[in-house]
Amino acid sequence: MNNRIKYKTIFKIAVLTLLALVTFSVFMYNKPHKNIARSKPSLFLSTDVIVSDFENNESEANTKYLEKVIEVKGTIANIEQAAEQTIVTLATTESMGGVMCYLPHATNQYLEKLNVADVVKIKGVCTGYLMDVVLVKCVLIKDSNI
Amino acid sequence: MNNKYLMISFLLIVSFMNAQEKFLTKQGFVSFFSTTLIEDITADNHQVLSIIDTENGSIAVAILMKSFMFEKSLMQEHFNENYVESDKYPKAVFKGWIEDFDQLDTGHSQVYIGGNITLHGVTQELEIIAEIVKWEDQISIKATFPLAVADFDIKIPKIVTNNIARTIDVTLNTIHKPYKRK
Repeated sequence: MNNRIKYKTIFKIAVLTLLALVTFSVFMYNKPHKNIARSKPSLFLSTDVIVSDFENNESEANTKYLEKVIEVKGTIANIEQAAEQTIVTLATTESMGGVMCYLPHATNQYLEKLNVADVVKIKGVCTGYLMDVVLVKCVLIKDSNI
Repeated sequence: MNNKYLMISFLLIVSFMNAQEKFLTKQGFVSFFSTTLIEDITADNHQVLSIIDTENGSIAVAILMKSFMFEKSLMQEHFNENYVESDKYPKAVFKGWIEDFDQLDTGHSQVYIGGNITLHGVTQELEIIAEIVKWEDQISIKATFPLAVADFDIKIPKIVTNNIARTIDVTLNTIHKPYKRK
């Protein structure tokens, strides 16, 4: 009698552990991408600061900015439309490079109201520096002056 | 002050150059596809920089590794942290030549592009066949070619060795426009 109860408990614990493990691994496998709209930026910068950081020391800037959610403030130099996203380039006052922000249409409103020379705040994930600093998965911040 | 002189001399040099010399895109597309019995993995990158110098037919492509977007965030994490180590090697670069570029007619042609690709800190020779479309104000290039993971010293852990193909298919699609300065 006693033994039976013992085996039953062991069996129950084993099943529960297995279930927990399976749930955990399925959850890990399907872990969602970071929701940028809901993430707090870890850095707030002007376009001048981030571009000059990359121009002066790219590898140092890489460790500082890559994969971080960053909010930049700058003046729109160029607006381009691509498949399912709008690409806004923010100008810098001193250098040739700028900040290219990729704004997916699915997670942004008011993009059609943007004009060249508007001052805006945009947050996104920094993936690096080519001729410009690249921010992807961007979200236009509501209190931008548009 | 120094900067200003540099800028002015640079602008002077640029204005002497033929404006049509360089064709460029900052929004080129590169994706890769790995297929095995267990799963298919694809990743897209829409932020590829590609420059063609029409003077000599040379081409340079720069790719940010962190710009590859995967369907599953865990795959993206593994790709960046374990496989291509993108903190250490944030860019992949291809430098090469479009063969017989000066003899190309306008419109569609097939060309050989040869050069060197550097990925994960390893440089390999690469020769591919590409579809090129050349117009007065636009040059587009499309190509698909295989890359062997082992060639670039990328180590795949045993546990996922059946999930990731030994050879992945890379697709490139770039539309270059004449480079105009702001």
